Amino acid sequence: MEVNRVDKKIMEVKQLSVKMKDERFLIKNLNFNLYKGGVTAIIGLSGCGKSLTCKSILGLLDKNCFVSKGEIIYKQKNLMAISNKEMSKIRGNDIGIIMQNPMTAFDPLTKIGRQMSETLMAHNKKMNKKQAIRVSIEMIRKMKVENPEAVVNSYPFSLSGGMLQRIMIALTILLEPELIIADEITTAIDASSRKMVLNELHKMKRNGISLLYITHSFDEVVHIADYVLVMKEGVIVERGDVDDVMTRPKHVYTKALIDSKLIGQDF
Amino acid sequence: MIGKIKSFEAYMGGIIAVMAVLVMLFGPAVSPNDPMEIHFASEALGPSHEFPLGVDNLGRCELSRILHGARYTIGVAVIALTITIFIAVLYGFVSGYFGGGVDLLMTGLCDIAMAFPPLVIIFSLIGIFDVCLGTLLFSVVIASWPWNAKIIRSQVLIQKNRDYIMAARICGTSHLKIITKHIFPNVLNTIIVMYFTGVSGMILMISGFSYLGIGFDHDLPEWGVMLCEAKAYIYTRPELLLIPGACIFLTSIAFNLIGESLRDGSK
Amino acid sequence: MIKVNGINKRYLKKDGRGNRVEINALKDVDYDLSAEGIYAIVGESGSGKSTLAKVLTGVEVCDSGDLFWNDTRMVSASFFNDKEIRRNVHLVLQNSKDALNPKMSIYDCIAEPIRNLCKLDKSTEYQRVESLIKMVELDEKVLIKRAHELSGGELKRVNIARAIATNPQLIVFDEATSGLDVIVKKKILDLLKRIQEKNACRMLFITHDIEVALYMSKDIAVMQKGKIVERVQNVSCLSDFRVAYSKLLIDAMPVFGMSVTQVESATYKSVG
Repeated sequence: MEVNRVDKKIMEVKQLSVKMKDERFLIKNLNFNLYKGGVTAIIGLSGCGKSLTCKSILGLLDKNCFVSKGEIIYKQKNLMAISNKEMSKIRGNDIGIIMQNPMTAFDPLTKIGRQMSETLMAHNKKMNKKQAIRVSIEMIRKMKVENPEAVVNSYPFSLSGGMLQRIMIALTILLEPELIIADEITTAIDASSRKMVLNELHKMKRNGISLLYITHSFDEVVHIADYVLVMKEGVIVERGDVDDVMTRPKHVYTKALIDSKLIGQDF
Repeated sequence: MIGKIKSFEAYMGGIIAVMAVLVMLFGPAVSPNDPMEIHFASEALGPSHEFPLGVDNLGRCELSRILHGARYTIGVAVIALTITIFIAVLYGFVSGYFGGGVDLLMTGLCDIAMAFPPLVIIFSLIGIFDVCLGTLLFSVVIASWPWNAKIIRSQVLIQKNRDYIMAARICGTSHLKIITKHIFPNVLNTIIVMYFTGVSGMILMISGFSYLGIGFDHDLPEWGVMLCEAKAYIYTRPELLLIPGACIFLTSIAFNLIGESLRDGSK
Repeated sequence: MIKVNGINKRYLKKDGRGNRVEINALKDVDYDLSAEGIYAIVGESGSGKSTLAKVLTGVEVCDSGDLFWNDTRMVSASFFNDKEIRRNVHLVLQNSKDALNPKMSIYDCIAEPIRNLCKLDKSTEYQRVESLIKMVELDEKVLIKRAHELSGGELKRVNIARAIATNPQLIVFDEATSGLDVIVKKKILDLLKRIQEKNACRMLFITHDIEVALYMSKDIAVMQKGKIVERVQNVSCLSDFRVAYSKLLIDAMPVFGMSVTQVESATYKSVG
């Protein structure tokens, strides 16, 4: 099962429960582990708590909810118990995050090239501006984009969502985190760009970065994940290796998710 | 919208405003004395049983004057504001909805109207028509309508560009129906807020003019006039300045607070 | 039934530097549909598919080209205001929440086209709205609610109910399933299939996801940068699509994807 796959455990989530201010449960008793180089997917419909799980791990819950119980062990520390300052150091450096809407993730008033190079230089103190721009251009070229020099000189709103998302991924990778959390990153972009985005994540996996991938589509789970957790209304209703769950789903909800696939193999 | 008002300021404002309106409606009925009647012998006396707030510089009962004055200050403010907002709504809707050349022309007129300071307007009109209620109303309305018209116009523009308006057009809705059934109800919130904050501004404007002697007639117990008359007695009888001043101040703030919390509540 | 020839449409947009740039949304586009059934137009954002949908329904006026309605040439500008057209052609917008007046009850939203375009008395109108709500599988209780009280799936159903209110001959859906979860997405698409069969109308799906197009329709047109690059009118298998761009869109579908290395070697032009 979980133990068979990749070796080192990098994060342990134990009994995580999140409640609203009025005592309603949003997430109940979540238990799962993340392994080095492995991709774990959390799948479920909106409102099931999958995004909330990410936010809890990253310490980004808003003021209406709070963690009522549980531990998140990362690098021998309980993330629930550390200070905000420590947490913000971990965010971005050790745990990277890619969010749903690439359009709003970038500063609309600054050119892409400058945003990329500033992030790179902030992360790598030895890099100077010229090098940072060069690395940025190379990164964009590797994503099979024509005329990367022009892209580097444009503002975010003149690029498509799919392209921005790929730039975001590439940038997150360059910061060399150990774990990346991707929260429904394909929802806001065109279907045609979806594949490209998933391919970038594949490359990431090959480089040994672990990934926690949130989605509501089994297509993507099959494409990229090793292990899957199915969430419904704040609880994990089924879990297992992707192949097992796809071919022998046990819970009725999992079956419904799989059956919602529009075009089967037989087309 | 009303249900969302929770702040302390809103309730304070509400209580004071209600009191002010009650005074406006029933003040004269409960006032102990005639506000215009001069009592020679009691000139130097402070508060007493017969004159709860004492008498003013001419021996008239201060409390009675305050109670009667509310009608002028608040009443005229409300009338002036109603006329202003009526004009502003018509103007803003036509200008905002039909756009193009009409909008350009109307906005231009607005800008020209806004360029004249209210004092200049009222002085010129007094020169022609003399100090009286009509002049006051006219000047106040002319001074205020462009600002309100522009606000309404921008709200109309915001609604006009929303999807539900296009959906209504697709459903065959005529322009008139769109304005009355779709845009107006969605702009109503703004109009209501404008009313309350507008009353506040109007009260200040009207009593300000009266203080300068160019608003109401000198004998009337209007609060601004009372301030004007009390100017000379600032050292000997400061309360003659403070009492009407406090009334103006409290009433104005009360309506402003209500307006602001309605605006915050409707967000 | 409806046909367009040589449609051109240009927009002015602000580019990265704030300069006004002309965008050719549609370049010499021909499209037509006549028989009952479901049609689809697929393309990425910026391909012009939404603009084409708006021109077909009269919401946008084209700069040049011809529009034919039942073989009669229509003047693009007055096409939209014709009551007959409004009764028979409907466009369902992408954002189903914003497409409803936040202050109006759901009943009034659905009844609006009926009140504007049909002469029904109050009780007949009520019966019609009731039957529409049932047809989209919603409970009557939803009629007194407002848009912000409904979920994404329910909002979509309300929009559909409003679309079929006057029993139009053509309904165009702009991204019918945007913002919906996979389970609700399939339910809505199946509902639309049933409605199309029952009402024997024409439905045109504008989508960026070729999987949705393949699921709903046998007549699929592919658009890229303002042109229709391919149209297959009787899709039986994926290899019916010959143009490279169409193949790229098909490959982007997760289940049928080529291996990762194969896709990586295909150059992908920036839309920019």
